Amino acid sequence: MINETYKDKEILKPIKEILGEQGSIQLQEFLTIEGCESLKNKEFKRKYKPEEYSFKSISLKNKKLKEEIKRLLKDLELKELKLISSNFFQFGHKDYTLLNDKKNEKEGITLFIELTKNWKEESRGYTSFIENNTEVLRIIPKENSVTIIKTNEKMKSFIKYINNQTEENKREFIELKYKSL
Amino acid sequence: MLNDYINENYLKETKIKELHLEFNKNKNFPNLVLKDFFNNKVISRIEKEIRTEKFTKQESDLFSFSQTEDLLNTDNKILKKFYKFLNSKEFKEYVLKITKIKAFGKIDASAFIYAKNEYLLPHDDRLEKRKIAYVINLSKEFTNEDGGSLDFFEGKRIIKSILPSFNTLTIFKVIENKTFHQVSEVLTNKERISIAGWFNK
Repeated sequence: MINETYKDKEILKPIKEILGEQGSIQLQEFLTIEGCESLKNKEFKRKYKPEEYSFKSISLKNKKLKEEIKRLLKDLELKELKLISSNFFQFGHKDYTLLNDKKNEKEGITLFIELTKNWKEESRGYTSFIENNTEVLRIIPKENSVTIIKTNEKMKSFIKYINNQTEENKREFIELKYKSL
Repeated sequence: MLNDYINENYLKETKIKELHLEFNKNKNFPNLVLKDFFNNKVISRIEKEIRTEKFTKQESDLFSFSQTEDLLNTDNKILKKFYKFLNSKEFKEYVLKITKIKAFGKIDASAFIYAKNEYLLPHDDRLEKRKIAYVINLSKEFTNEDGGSLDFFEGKRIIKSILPSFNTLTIFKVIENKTFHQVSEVLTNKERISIAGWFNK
């Protein structure tokens, strides 16, 4: 499912360095065309708690993708990680998540595999990582990219409310969270 | 002093008793929407002066809007006088008669502008000192298509939706983890303008 480029250890070397130095990296053309196609047409379920979140999601069952991601993380020498959640999300107009005092990130790695097409930045819907009340990372949806983030317990994240400039377009992404052992 | 600002129909004792009953109708979310609350001439002048104040863009996970500083700090003489009225003992006692909630601390009052695509997501105003929230609406001619409504929640359901209308005062009791409310996204190029804040303990 993952583009062959990201299975080449020589190519992964600088990626590993940047991730080590900057704490995050975004890779383009992450999945093969067939890989992207196989992830379409999910039957999402509505999740709505007004004071916390509004979105649709479904648990990610795709074993092949999980295996390939596991391999990628191993090749990036990000060892001793345990997968703690893997979900497929869909955010449309009026969807959001809010920061929650009780929900900090874990020490580990989070991956966002973005499947959204033709996202208009002005419709917002980006993912924001906050540490000590400051935004440390903003992920703007970009089709077939993966963002790998080193997370820690001081971090929180939210997804900015999507306004009506999105019209019918929806942000769709897979989120995989790994905890350091 | 009350006569200088408030529509005289709202000052009659019988009306105040009626408003008290109305306020407590919904025990989970005590609220009141008072149309044509202020003297029209006075509030029209307030609206004009508010637009000359400096609004600063505010952005977070919860909101997107522009806001002035607390009107306590304004240099505008007319707004200063209006703030003094909102913060006066007479006005707080009037609000007490309606709500039976003691809130004699310093009032908070800022002006807000919600432009196209701006909003305030559901929250409960949870700060111990806040007793009653209020919104003085200064927007004109808003319809459902424009958005910008003040919505009250009971669980996941919107139980009341108040479209912005000029010279309307909305008040509601602040109850932690209960009185969740939002300002829905403004969907057109109209500006939703208001003065809002809290009566504090």
